[in-house]
Parts: sequence; C-alpha cells; structure tokens
Amino acid sequence: MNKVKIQICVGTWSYVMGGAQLMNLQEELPENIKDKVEIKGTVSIPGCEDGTTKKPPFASVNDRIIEEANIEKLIKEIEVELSK
Amino acid sequence: MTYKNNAMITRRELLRQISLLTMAGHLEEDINRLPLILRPRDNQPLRCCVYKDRAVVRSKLLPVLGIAADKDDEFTPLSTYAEEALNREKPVNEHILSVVDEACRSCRQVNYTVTNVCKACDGRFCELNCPKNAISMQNGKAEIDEAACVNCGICEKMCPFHAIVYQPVPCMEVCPVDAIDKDAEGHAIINEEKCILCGKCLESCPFGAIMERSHLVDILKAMQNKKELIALVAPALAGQFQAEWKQILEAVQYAGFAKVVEVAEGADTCAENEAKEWEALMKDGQPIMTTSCCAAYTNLAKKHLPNISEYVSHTKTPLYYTAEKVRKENPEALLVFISPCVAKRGEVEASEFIDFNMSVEELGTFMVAKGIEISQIDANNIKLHASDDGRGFAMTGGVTEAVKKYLSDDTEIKAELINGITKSEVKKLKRLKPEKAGFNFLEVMACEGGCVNGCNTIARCAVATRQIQKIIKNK
Repeated sequence: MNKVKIQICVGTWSYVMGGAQLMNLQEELPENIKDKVEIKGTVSIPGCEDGTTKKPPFASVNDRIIEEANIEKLIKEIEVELSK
Repeated sequence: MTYKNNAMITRRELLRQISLLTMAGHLEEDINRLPLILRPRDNQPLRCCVYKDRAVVRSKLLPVLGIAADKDDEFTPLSTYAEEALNREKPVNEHILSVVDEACRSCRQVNYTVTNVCKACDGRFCELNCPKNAISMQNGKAEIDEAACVNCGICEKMCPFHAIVYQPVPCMEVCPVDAIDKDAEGHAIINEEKCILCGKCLESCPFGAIMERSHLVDILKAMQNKKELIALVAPALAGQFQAEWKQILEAVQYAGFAKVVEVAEGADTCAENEAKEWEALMKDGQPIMTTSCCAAYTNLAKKHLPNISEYVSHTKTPLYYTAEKVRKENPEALLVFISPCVAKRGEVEASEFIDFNMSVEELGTFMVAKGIEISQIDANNIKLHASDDGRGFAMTGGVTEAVKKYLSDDTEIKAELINGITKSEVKKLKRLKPEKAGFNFLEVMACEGGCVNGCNTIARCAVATRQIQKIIKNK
C-alpha cells in the first residue's frame, strides 16, 4: 500500500500565515497512521500561486491542494485517502 | 510563539493589509473599508455578530498604526488615525503593550464557577465551607457570588461531583509577575509598574486583545521617502523561515534596507565583557553574577528582585554593542532592530542609537506583502561576519557557552540556567540567597528555549532551534 504523500508549503506567505505550525504534523499523527504517511516540506505546491482567492496555509494530500490547512484537517484528509 | 489560532492569524493579516495599503500609497483612502473587507456580512461571525467583529478589527488596527488602542474615539474614522500615523515625526514611546478593550472579552471576574453538573446535594459542601459565604443555592443549583469570592478554591476541592471548575483568565494566568488587573467592567489592565514586557499575555490571549504598538508605518514611510535604513537582526531570526540564513538576510535587505547587520556580531563583545566582569567580581568576593542580555529578565530584576538586582552584570547587550558600532559608521542612517520579543522594545526606545523596532512577525508579514519568496532569493554575494558563538545567543545556554570560552580558567565557573520565567520561577528567584546559591553564574531567559521562542516569532521553537544548530555546526 503506497504511503500517503503530504506536502506542506513552507513558502514565506504560507509559513508566516500559520504554516509554521504544520511542521508539527509528524508528532501529532495518531499512532496507527504514523508509518503510512510521508511528509515533505516544499516551497511550491503546484496550483497555489493564485494568491488572490486562495487562503494560506497550504498543504497537499496526494497532490490535492488543501487551503487554510491545519493539523486536524490534514489528519482527516489522510484518513480519507487511506480508506480508498 | 503561539500555536496557530485565529487571534494570531487576524493580527498577521492586519499587519499584512496595512503594509499593502501603505506601500501602495492608499492607506488613508482605503483603511476605513478594511473592517468591512476582512469581516464581510455573509461570513460566519467570530463574535456575536459581524458588526462586533468589525468593531474589533477597527480597534486592533490602532496599535498596528502605532497608536495605543485606548486612545480610540469611536466616531473618529480610521483614516484620521492613519493620517496621524503618516504625519507624525516620530512614534510615541510609551505604552508599548496595548489592551484592545473592544476585543477583550473580560473573560472572568473570578476563577471558580459552578457547572450544570451540580446536583444541589443535601450536603452543600461548597456553601458550608466557603470562608466568605459567597455561595448560595439559586434556581436549583449552587452559585458563586463573584463580588464576594476570593479565589481560595476550597469549594472546588470540596465538591463530591467535581461540579465546580477552575477557569483561568489566560493573560492573568500566564503573567509571571501578576501585572494584569481588571477594571470595573472586567477588561484587562496592564499595571506598567509591575509589567516586565515579557509578552506572554500577548501570546496567550485567545481574543488577541493585547497587542504591541507598531513602528510599521514609520518604517514604511521612511522607506518611501528613500531614507537609508539599516536592519540590525536578532540572532533568533535565523530560525524563523524555511530558507538558508544568507537568503533570509539578503531577503531583508531586498525588502528595503540599505544594509543588514547581524546582532550576533555584538554578541562576541558581550560574551568577552561578561567573562571579564565575572572574573573580576569573583576575585572581589561577589557570590554570583547573572546575565543581562534578556531584557524581560533585567526588567524583572529591577522591579521585583531586590535580592538579585545588584548582581545583574553591567555588561551591555549584544544589541547595544552592535548598534553603537553601526551608528558610528553610519551617522545619518536610520537603525531598525528586528526583534523576536516585546521586552527589547524598552531597550530600543531608550537607546540613543536605534530609531525603530520591527518584530519578526511584522517583518514576515511585510515581506509577504511585498511578495518576497525567501527561499528563491539569490544570496551568493552576501558576506557574513558574525561568529557561531554569537549566533548561539538565540538559544537557551548560548550566552553561557560563549562566556565560558572567554574565561582564562573555566574550572571555577558553576553555571546555572533558568529556561523560561514563570510564576513559580519568579517565586524561586525571590527566595534566592546569593551567598547560598550553589552556583556563581546565572543565565536567565524569559522565554523557554531562548529568544527563538520569543512572543513575536513565527517558527516553532524546536524547528527554529534545530535550524540554528545546523547553521552553527555546518562549518
């Protein structure tokens, strides 16, 4: 089973507007999910450059962009991916 | 540094918006609309209604403009305050921390409350044991008369159903020196005689009701008037963004500064002088010496620790030495300190060398407003002069490590460390008898982890610490 790919945007805008807190994701994952997820920081998530309408912080779960990301949202999205 | 929460996001969004409007030259014209734009009518309101949300945003914009929030006259449009900010010669140097009454929820008058789990038992433990007769049965359950309650907590301990709970007032709970009082309406008031400017209240208020008066508009105005500005950056900045240190420094310069200087350069002078001072004092028979670089700690020592204040070192801070040198070499420039905390504001405002303060948060949102992506900056031409020991000052233990290296004999030093000033650490410090301390050198950091965890920072403390350690070890 492939690991769920998580990318956290660490670009300046995303990082300043709450993205810095997403760096804790690995520690906050529930035990049963920890080894099913691969987390990387990246500076550009394709598709998030349209800043006027989208709201940071940005992350992507298996290449699906999540706006206004927070740890709870990401965990939920990961669980959705794992149940597929 | 806080966990992400709406209060923090709102504050950063306000900073970003004011940066955008000021840079575009539309601050006076467009600021009145800002509460409406940020709190549109069809959004789910944060408070009771969208109009309260807008009033809160409006009030919060005053400290962003550099004006104390309690100067707000509701009928004065924001544009008038913006004009005042744009036209002032210099920022007003008082009331650095401002309580935004409109935002303050005046959360609780007393810390104890009876929940609806109360069974109105026959035993009436709470009522019978309250030393102030503050509890009575009302409408089928126990109720605490807030005017009579003295927060002793006996009722909470007595209740067999655990129906009485302790509810903290976050700002009062976290203030290490009990400097926050409540006025008649229950709004928080900062007692400036006791306040040490540690900024823990600012970080912890869930309503974002405590804000720092900003120099943002003054700095942006100076940039627009093509003045020469030099940024003096705190060592803590190196851990604040996901980019190389050289890129961060280059990005700061690119944002509008003629030069960027690491305050870590002055840290070496500080460490050397601290070491010399310590050796001389030990020879003289003084029992202990404490560091003096943490501004919140020196405020604490001065205002609350008469048993220790004479032992605080007289060595100046890294910022002082850096600013003195830069001022001498650049007599006409405007010096801006990039600060990870509020406490340094006191030093900045009293300084004869430094003109403005910009918090890490303000710098970050300003760079976002300018559309700067730090990790894409080309930093190949920048030259760094500071030492790794100086850069280590950003983390707890960094000062001590650096001082030890300047001692002619480091076997005599018995160093102790206070990592974060809390209510209980203050109690311990007040009881400290220097002759019986068990140590002869004390480093005190108000923020746990050191300056990387200052109240104005962006990155998580552990992330920032690892980042700076990588910089120091990569040689």
